[in-house]
Amino acid sequence: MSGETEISVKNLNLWFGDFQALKNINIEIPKNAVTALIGPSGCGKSTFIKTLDRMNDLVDNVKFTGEVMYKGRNILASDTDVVELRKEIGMVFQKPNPFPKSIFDNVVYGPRIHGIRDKKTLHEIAERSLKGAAIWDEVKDRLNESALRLSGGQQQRLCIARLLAVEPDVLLMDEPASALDPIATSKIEDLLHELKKDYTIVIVTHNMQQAARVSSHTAFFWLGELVEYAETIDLFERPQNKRTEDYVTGKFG
Amino acid sequence: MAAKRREMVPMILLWGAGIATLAILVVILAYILFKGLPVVNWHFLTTNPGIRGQAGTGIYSTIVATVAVTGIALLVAGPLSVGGAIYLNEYTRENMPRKVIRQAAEVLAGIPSIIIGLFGFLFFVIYLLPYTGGWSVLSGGLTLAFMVLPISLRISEEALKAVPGELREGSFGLGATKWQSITTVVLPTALPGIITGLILGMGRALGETAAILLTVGGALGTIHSLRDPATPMTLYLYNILTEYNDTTTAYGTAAVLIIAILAITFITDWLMNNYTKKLKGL
Amino acid sequence: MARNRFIRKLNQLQHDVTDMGAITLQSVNDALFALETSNTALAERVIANDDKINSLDRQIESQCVKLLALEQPMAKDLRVIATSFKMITDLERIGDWTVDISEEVVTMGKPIHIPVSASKFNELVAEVKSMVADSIEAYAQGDVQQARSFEARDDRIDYLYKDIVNNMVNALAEGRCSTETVSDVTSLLYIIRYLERIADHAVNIGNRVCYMEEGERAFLK
Repeated sequence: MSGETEISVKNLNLWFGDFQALKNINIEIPKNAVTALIGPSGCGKSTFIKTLDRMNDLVDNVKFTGEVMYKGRNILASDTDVVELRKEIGMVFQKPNPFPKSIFDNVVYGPRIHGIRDKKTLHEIAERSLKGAAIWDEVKDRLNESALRLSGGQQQRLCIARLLAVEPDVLLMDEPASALDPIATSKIEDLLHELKKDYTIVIVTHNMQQAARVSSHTAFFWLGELVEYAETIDLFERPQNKRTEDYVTGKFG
Repeated sequence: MAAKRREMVPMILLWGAGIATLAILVVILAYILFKGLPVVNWHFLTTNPGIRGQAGTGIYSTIVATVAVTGIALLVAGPLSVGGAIYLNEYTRENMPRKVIRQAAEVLAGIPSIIIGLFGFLFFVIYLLPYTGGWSVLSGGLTLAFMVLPISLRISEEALKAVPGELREGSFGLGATKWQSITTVVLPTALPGIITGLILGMGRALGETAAILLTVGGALGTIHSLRDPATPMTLYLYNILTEYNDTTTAYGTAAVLIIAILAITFITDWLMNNYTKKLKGL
Repeated sequence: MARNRFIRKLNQLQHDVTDMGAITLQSVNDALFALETSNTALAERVIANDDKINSLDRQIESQCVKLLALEQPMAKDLRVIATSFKMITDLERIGDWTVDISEEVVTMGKPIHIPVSASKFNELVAEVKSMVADSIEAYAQGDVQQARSFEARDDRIDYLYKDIVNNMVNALAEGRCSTETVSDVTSLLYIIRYLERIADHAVNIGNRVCYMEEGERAFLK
């Protein structure tokens, strides 16, 4: 972990129609580390993470103010090329969503639509990405099979591989393991420990123990506010804010 | 014990309804095929009808006419309906214009075919005479397109709706533009449904008589261009029965029509099943 | 509700630690009373009672491990358990030092005579007893203020300790002690060392109470 900031959020406010989902969020996301976002359902953590790659744009009636600085520019500016942005900041979703195509076609989907056609290059990208997602050995002999034949945990790792193929800098993960069994979950967590060496990772999780296991920094959201943000051990051992304390000790949740 | 018996009564009734439905279909098919197949032979399929529709002549030109008219209808209605469905489902939100367009398609689907035929007559045959050649396969095909369009549009829209939003999200998350997402993920996934919609539309076109009656002209010879008049099989069946009381040829024509429809339906079903299985990796 | 069950278990844990504290405190008081009154029977009882303290140490340790494994406690709950875990070690060590004092009493077997710094010695004894009592009370009440005062008090104890040792060693070196007194002084030197160690453990307990309540480590010694 370098201690540098990858993404700097300043005074972020977001509304869905009249409902304010994010209230004055200020946070610095560190580079090459895992930052966890925790909080009860509906607290805004998913909305926040989707702001970072402008996926909220897909929802009706969304308005936002504030800045999200990434590589010297404000992602929220209206002239941002959102399509380009999503090549640098990519997302993995709660429910694995492989396309109904072959495993190979899934992994190289991103590079293909960005114009790479050369078969050899695509194969190299596929191998590199599948290895990066710790699933190469399991699928290398069946790249032409439909991705839908994989188990849930494998599908999720395939989705991660798909993302890695685009060579982003930042990986956003919205509860990536919540649909998986404990063994698959633990594989994903191991993967995160490896990936963080090269990528900045932000992960939303409702499982505090998972946040504790994988992240170096944790942010606690409640009712749209960022209540507390600290190094993970500090947030769980000695939270400064009473609401944080109540949440992590299970008084409500 | 009494409960089990009570369960059996509705079960028998429902089963009976199912059997009855199947039976009706089977009876119709069997009767037509039984009466019509003996008439169908190579000669029947490759000779043209005689001027007075005598028995012993064939239906070649009517087959050509049917293919032409249906083909035109699909060529026009296909892109329009699929394009329209894509526009409605992917580019508009659930708001007034979308609801209005959808409602309009529903109404169009319900208009009696004779009225659509009347419109086709006035618009294509009379008004656009220089372009369509008046009574012609072209006029007939274009009119049929109006009948195919609402069915195909509705079904294509449903097929697109059935594509889970997560797939679109997934492609956006990888940096795809909206159009790329549609062409590389949404359409391939919705394809079986869309094709089904087109086939259903085609079925309607194949079997249409009233709209054809008023637009296609009724000539018996093989067409040389799309602007020639002609007689598709359905119209021929009607004519041959009402004008000449030639039941034999009528049965023969009917048999050919039914076999064609059955064949198309089964083949398309089979193709789409295979495609779907491949998508799902089964 | 799971949380209520957990809170009950946590309360039980703290209660058990406080109990162990009370027993340890009793041992301290008994040992020092035995010293004062040269009551070898009492001293023997203190030595025998140490088994009870050791067994409580093991039992509470096992309670802590169970809570950690099964409940994944966080924040204050976690700190309570971590504090209790370490505190029982301090109490157990205090028990051991108390046994050492009692063994001296048994060995001496007769009333002890304090040739020099007698009043300071008595002050030391009183202060150590008081600190042990206060440290256990601070844990039970979560009394951070009380706990913070231990550092200053421990300074006083260190001062008393060094002073008494100095005086006694000088007395020995200058030959101001008779043969009998020499043996007394030697025992006393051991005993005040044990007392100083007991005080250190009481200070530890105080620091852990500060951590438990506030999450900060107040001690940097």
